[in-house]
Parts: sequence; C-alpha cells; structure tokens
Amino acid sequence: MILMAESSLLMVSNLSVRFRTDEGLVTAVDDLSFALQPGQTLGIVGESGSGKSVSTKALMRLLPDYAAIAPESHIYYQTKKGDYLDIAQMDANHKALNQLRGGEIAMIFQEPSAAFSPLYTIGNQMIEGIQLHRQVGRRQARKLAIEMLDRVGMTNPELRIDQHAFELSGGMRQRAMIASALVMRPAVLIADEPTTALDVTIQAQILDLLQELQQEFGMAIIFISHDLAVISQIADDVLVMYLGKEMETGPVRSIIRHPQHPYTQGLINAIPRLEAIDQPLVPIPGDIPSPLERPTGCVFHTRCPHGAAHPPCRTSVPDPVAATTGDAHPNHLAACHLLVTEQLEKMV
Amino acid sequence: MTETSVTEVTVPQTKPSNRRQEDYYTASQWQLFWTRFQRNRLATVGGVVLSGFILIALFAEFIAPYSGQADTHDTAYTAGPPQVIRFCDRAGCQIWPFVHEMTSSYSVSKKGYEVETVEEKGQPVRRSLQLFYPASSYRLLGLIESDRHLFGVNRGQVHLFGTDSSGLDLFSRVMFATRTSLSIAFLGVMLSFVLSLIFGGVAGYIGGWVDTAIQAFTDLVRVIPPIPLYMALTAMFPRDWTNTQVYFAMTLVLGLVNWPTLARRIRSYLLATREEEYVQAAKLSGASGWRIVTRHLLPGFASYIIVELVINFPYRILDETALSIVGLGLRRPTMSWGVLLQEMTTVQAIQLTPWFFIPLIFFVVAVLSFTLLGDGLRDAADPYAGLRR
Amino acid sequence: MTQPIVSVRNLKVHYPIGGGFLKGKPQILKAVDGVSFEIYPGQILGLVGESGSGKTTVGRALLQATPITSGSVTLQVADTTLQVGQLRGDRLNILRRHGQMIFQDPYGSLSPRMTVRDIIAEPLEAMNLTQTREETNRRVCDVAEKCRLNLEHLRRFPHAFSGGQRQRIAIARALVSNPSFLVADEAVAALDVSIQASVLNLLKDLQQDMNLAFLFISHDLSVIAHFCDVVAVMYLGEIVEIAPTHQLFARPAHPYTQALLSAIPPLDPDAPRDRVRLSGEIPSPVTPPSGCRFHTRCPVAQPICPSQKPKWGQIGDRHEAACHLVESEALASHSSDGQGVEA
Repeated sequence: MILMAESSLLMVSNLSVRFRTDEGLVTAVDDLSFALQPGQTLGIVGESGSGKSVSTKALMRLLPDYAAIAPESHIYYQTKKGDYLDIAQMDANHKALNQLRGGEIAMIFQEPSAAFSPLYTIGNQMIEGIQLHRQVGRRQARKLAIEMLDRVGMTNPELRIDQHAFELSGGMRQRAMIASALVMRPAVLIADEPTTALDVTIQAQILDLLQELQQEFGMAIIFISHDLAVISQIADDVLVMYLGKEMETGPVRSIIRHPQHPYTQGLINAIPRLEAIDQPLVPIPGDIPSPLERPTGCVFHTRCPHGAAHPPCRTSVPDPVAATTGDAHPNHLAACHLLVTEQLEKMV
Repeated sequence: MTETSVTEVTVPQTKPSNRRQEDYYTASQWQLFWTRFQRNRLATVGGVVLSGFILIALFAEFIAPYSGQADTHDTAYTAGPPQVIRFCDRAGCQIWPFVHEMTSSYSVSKKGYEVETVEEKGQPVRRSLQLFYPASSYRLLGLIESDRHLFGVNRGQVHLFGTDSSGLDLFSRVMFATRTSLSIAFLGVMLSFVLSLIFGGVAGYIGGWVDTAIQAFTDLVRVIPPIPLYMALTAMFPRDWTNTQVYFAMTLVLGLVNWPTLARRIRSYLLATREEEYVQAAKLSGASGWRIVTRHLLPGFASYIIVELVINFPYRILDETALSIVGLGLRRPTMSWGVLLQEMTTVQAIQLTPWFFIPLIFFVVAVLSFTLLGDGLRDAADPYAGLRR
Repeated sequence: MTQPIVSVRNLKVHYPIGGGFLKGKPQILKAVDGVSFEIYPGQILGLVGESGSGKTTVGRALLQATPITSGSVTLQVADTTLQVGQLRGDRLNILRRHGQMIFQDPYGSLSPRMTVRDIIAEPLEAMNLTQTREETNRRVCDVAEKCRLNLEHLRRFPHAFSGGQRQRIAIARALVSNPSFLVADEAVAALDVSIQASVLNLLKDLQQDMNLAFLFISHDLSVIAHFCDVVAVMYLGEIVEIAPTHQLFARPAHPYTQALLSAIPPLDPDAPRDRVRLSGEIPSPVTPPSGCRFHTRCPVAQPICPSQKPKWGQIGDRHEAACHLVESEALASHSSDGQGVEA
C-alpha cells in the first residue's frame, strides 16, 4: 500500500503486532504498511482498538512485554547520518535503539504527567536527555533547555525549568513535553493524542505551536488522534485504521471530501458538526468488536452497511486499490471489495 | 449473590460454540479471581503445601505417634539421630518396613552421644512399622475419641526425626509445634484484623474529625518500635502462668501490636472506593449507607482483606518464633516452632545433633509457602490484570 | 409557559481547600459562584465550558450530591416542590427517584461485582419502588429493551461489555425509576465517535419518548449543538451567555463563546476561519480575576472590564450575555428592559 520513494524517511512494511493475553493471542496491528517523507505530517485516525498507538510504539520499540512484532514485519528508517536501520528486526536491547529514541524519533503523549517523573524538575529531565545524546556540559545543556522552553511559548522559562511537571497547568505541561521531545531536533515526532486531554482553546494553541515548530525544525510528524477534524487541521496525509487494519489512506483533502471506504464515510457522518446542527447524526451500526472476536475477511464487514449483501467481505481480506471517483487524488487508496467490484463493472 | 436473579430472568440458551466466551462474560469477580490464581503455579504449590500444614495442625494427635509430653521419654535413646526406615538388612528382607532398635547415651570420655544398634544373636533387632497403630488415646478435633495413630512400631518407640536431649520424639514434637505456631499466628492475625476493621472501617467510612482522631491514635501505636514493645509486654507475663494462659496472652500481644498497619490500609481503601463513580451512582440511586457498605464496598473489599491477611500471616509466625527463641514467649513443655528452635541454638546442636534443625525446615517452608500464596492471591485480586483492555 | 421543573437562583458552591485541624485557615475554592437558570419539562439545557469552569459541580448540586453554599435549587416533580440541599428521608427519595444522573466514565460507574440486571435494578431495590421481584425484573427488562440492550446479556457482568454498551447500561439504570429530570455529565465524552452518535441518538429518542428534562454537561460544543435546546456557557463558576441553541451558534455574543466556537477544528482543512485565539489558560477558581472574570484572556477587553462586573445584556429573544460590550451595545440599540437573569 505504500508508494516507495527513495526519499522516504521511514517506511513501514507488513507490520503486525500481537498481544499474548489470558484469553489467547490478540492481533493489535495487522499487516500495516506506510511511508513517511521528511517534513511531512501523517495523521493516523482510529477509534479504540484500532492499533494506532500500538503501531507507533512499535516504531520506537516501546511495546510492553506481552506484545510481539511478527517476524515478517519491517520498519526501515534512514538515520540523520544516512544509515539504514530495520527497527523491527533489531534486537530489543540494541544500543542503536537508545540513540534512535529521543535522538531520531521523539514522542509526546496524551498525558504529559506520564512523561515526567514527579521526583525531578523539568530541567533535570531535559538536561539529562540532552547530555545523553550530545557531548555538552551541564551549563550548556541547561541553556539549550531554556531556549527550547522559551521557543514553545513557556512564560518565564528560567523559572519554569526548575519546577516539577505537576506544578504546571495542563497546557503548560504539554508545552514542556513538546520542548523536551524537540530539544534533540528529532527527524520524526510521534504525537499520540497530544491534545485529547486539553480544552478546545488550549488544543488550538498546541496545534498552532506544532505547526510553527514543524516549519522551523522541518521534522516529520506522525499525529495520532481519534478526532478526524483535528487530523484534518494538521495532517498532509491520512491513514484511517480500524481493528489494526488500514482502511484508507491518502492526502487529507481527498480523504475528507471523497471518502471511499464505508468506514471512513461512516466516521465522517457520525461526527457532530457545527456547520450542520440540524442534520441528524448517523452512527455506524453495532459496536466495535472485542479484539478476541476479530471478524474474518474484511474486519469492518460486521458494521458495514454493504457487508451483509456482499459475500467476499466475510471471507477474504480486501487489498487496497486506488480510488477512481473523478476528484479523488491518485495516491488515495482504500481497502474495500466494493471498490474493486465497481471498477470491474466499469471496465466491462 | 446473583444466582437467584439469573434464573428468574428468562434467558435463551446460548449457542454451544459461544459457551466458553459466555462463561467468561458471566463469571463473577470471584470466579475470575480463582481462574487467575490457578494460573500461578508457584502460588498453587504454596497453597497445596499450606493445606498440608493445616492438616498437620488439625490432626496432630493422629499423625504424631506420641504425645511429645514428659511421660513419653525414650530414656534409652536420648539425643538419638533419625531412624532409617528399611525393608532389608543383613538378615534379609521383609515386606513390612521396619527400623532397627537403637540406643543412644552420653559418653563423658568421648564428649558426645554414642549410638549403637541393639543386636541379638548377631542380628540387629527389628521394630516393624504399622499403620493405624493403637496407642495412647486422644480426642480428634476435641470430638472423636480414638487411640489410633497414623503409624507406630510393635516394640518400644520409633523416631523418624530422632529425639531431643531428653529423649522425646522430635517428629511428634514438630507436629504439635506446627499446630501451636500456626494457631497462635492465626488467632493473632484474626485479632488484629478485627481491631483494624473496627478502627480502619470507622475512620475510612465516616472520615472527617473521627478519621483524624483515629489516625492520630493509630500513628501513636505504630511509632512504638515493635520489638521492645513485644519484650515489655511478654516480660509482664507472670512466671506462674499456665501454658494455656501464656498461649492466649501471646495471641493477644500479636494482635494488639499489629493492627495499625492493616487499619491504615483498610482506611485508605475505603476512602478511595468511597469516591468511585459506581459508589456515587449508588448513592444517587437512593441507596442507604448500609446498603452501600454491604452491597458495594464490602464485596470488593473481601478479596483484598483475604490477601492482606495471608500476607500478614508469615510475619506473625516469625514474631512468635523470634520471641520464643529469645525466651520471652512460650516455654517448654509447650511445643512451638520457636520453642523447638530455641533448643537448637547451641554449639553442640550444630556439631553433635544436626537433626535438631528439622523444625527449622518446617518453619522456613511454612513461611515461604505463605508468602508465595499471598503474592499469588494479590496478583489474582488485582482488577487491572487482563480485564480492561 | 409551563412551570420550570428546575429553577436555580444565584447558586453558589464553595469548597474550603487546604486547611483543617491545626492547619490554618483554609482557602475558598469558588467552584460555582452565582449561577441562575431554569429547565422546563422536556427541555434539554446544555452546559458548556472548559475544565475548571464549575459545570460538573452545578450538575452535582442539582441532585444534592454536593452541599450548596448559598442560593436555591428548586425542583418541581410529582406535584411536589423540593428545595434541593436540605432534603432528607422520604423527600430525598422523591428527588432520587425523579432526578437521576449519567456519569462520564462507563468503566468506573458500574460496580464490577454486580450483574447487569442487578446494576439496573439498583434504584428500584434501594428505594423499594417495586413490590415483588417479578415486578423488578419486568421493569428491568422493559428499560433494558428501551435502551437497546440484549436481554440475554442481563446476567453478564460489566467486564463483558464495551464502552458504548456500558453507557447504555448506565442509561438504563438512570431511567428505571421513571425520572423526569436527568443530569448527564460528559455522558458521551469517553466514547468513540462511531458509538457516540448512537448513544446520543438513543438519549434523544428516550428524551422524546419519556418527555425528560436534561441538564447536559459537556466540554464539546459540537455535541451540545446537536443535542440541546438551550445552551449556557460557563466560565470560572459563572454563566457568561445563555441562548437557544440556534441563536447561540448563529450569533455568539460573548467573546468567550466566540473564542470557544472558533477553537473547534472544522472537518474541512480549507474551511474559512476567523480565528479568535485565546492566550493563556483558565485562572484558578481560588483567586478569580476581579471585575469580568474573563478579562485576563479576553481579546477585546476594555479598561472597565477589570474593575466592574458586567451586567446581563439582551441580544435577542431569550438570548443574554454578561459582557460590558454587549451591555453597551444593547443600551445603544434598544434600552434594556431589565428582563435579565440576575448574575
């Protein structure tokens, strides 16, 4: 499903992650492939159980003990120095991973308090991070940290650097986390629902900040959210996931204006929109299946309005095909049997 | 608690293919707890070993061939080593297991015990082991009168663990000591549990200034160092107290010293659970304070309490043993692990009579299995293990 | 117009924080500081605001789940007038029966040790609303069916369900006693988008069937817009604007409302936006700013704002806002007739 490009910074191919649980093996990410160009923003949208967080944790090899990356998975990454790594195939204790985490790929989370230890000041933790990756003295590292805090819009950075994360408000904590993630100038920033716990007014501030910082530092961003509207504001390309599978992928405008996959269409119809207060909300029928009862064939067929009438949906996994609606972007792909059938009918 | 209601609501039969899934969905917290516990091998082993100890404690009279009291001295076999169960010797084999008749006496010249096998006509004398051997009578569990013992020998005595320096059967003494030590710890834990439930429960449920007052008192008890407190309390026991009196006084001491920790835990658990949304929801559903406590707080609490108690148990065993070893707790002729271990604390024991250490093995195994079981129960009681995903 | 089912007059809820025995004088957290509104039978009032605005506390005060410092909350249910705050015994039971609550967290609000049947039956059993077990079961089945729950699932425990199903169980519990007034505190905030819509539609259907009055608390203006008849915007313990839904979204008057609206990301990346970006964050309710509480973040603050509390100004039919700018505008256009809700 990926468009192989020489310039790709990160290329994920056939990534599968499984969890060992009390009730058996559970598939969290299923045969996922995507590519990320330098400076690009990829938005991954999905509901709970879609595997959007798990797949990005796999990029940094930060998965919990009970998770395993399938042997056929590859995560190719080109480092700042120009070396190629296959992150999926590396040993979990490989030294290069430490350089990778923080130095090359950094991450920010929904809950900043999880990223900061309550025992140390923000400064302590940022300075430690800087010295881990760069040969600089403590004073120099502190200067870098203060500059970065200032850059992300913290008021009084000289004062804030000696505070603990819990002394800050939610928005300021999120800024501090962004500062500590970006201080090493990573090539990729993974933002896992960074605005979900924030109020809308603060969310808008943080989204603006991320876009500014991206312009300035040129890093690529993988932005994960359950909220398609947030994604549409920040992403260039979108990947729609459901139950660990990619449903649809392509440039953001094409996805939002010409959604091809019934799941994406359903998701857009289910969002309450201010522009259309009087239109009824159209939910996607049914519930998200438990990971233990993963549907066969197309994983969405149990909730798909067309799934019942179309036999292949229940039995075979659809391959992604290019969208053919006139206005859809040529790089816009969707994994749906209906699209294939439609295209065949057109050809006849 | 819901069995009755389940049958009343008419439920269509589930398809057999989904039976396993349905079992999981309709499993109560206790059933899930039990399933998780069974997965933990070490804890299960600990549980099995402990059941063995409990059986010993309950049926000590039956398992022990002798009462271990002063009237059962084997005067010909003082400080004798464990006797080996044999099927064969120089004179040939027999189907019934037997032990050799032996003597043991102190030799001043050799500064040690001399053990000899008694021989008749050049052959060692055999004592045949028999199951369910009739000997001294007792009341099993204080109810059933019986004179049968698990095993015995047809002549003299048998000493599988050897004898102590006054010729008492160590095997029998260990069996009775197991009962004493476990029961003291049990009563001590129960007493501290009742106290902590009262103090912690009241503080945690009522809160406010009652909580502050009880906390102050709890902290007061907690800051007294336990060892001097134990010593002071046990030193107050009058010398002329009977063993029974000392026994109950010991349980009292163990209970009184140890409730504050558990009380604090119960309090903080209640304080936390009281704020849970489902408790709030019950309150807004019109549930009374009593209903909230009995229907919502206690059921969640029970597994937690059991875990706490089991984890506390080995420490009470340690306490009793430690006190008895330094001579402040129980004393001869009462048999407890502490008393038996106290007898081994001599250089001679290490050099000459290493079997005096056998009670130590029982003690270590018991404490270890309690700890394993407690850990397993705690892991199984953790509601976040595998439920929320 | 009919009588309101809920009328709130100058409600204040203050909490002492810190302080205590030998710990000195506590500070006062003014969670709700003078709020007034009415809810009519069958009406849905939306209460929206950032975290820390006090919207949750209002909801809890209405059901006597938190002590009221001053002001009054009057409930008009079952031909009885209840003064919420001091109710005990039978009168408290009337409140509990007719006013119910739906919580945000579908995982935390269901007791993990009770079957679904027992959870839904809780209000009936706790208040002895039914005579026999059969009657209880019948009512549980009725309400479960209304909430689109599978009756087969009644004997299951909550751990068998997903968030959306759990929230439907919580709704069934809230409705089993046939209430006439519901407080829904972020009832869909924890749900996935595809599920959220179905729970909202279910609530709307039930609301119309049973003619329920709602206080619908949410931080999400889009959800409020789709669900509510009237919207009140809260900031730092006070209501700053109240209006029928269409009016509010078509003509937001208060700068805070305008800022909230423009902060919502539209679905289309190229949608035209006149952004009002708010700087800073909501101040602490322990030391609220003087005058208009919003002046520290207001993009159009005037010299008068820090010193004087704004009065209510009328913008349109039942549309009012507490802002000095609105006030002067209103004075300029048509002299205020003093119909305003007291602040």
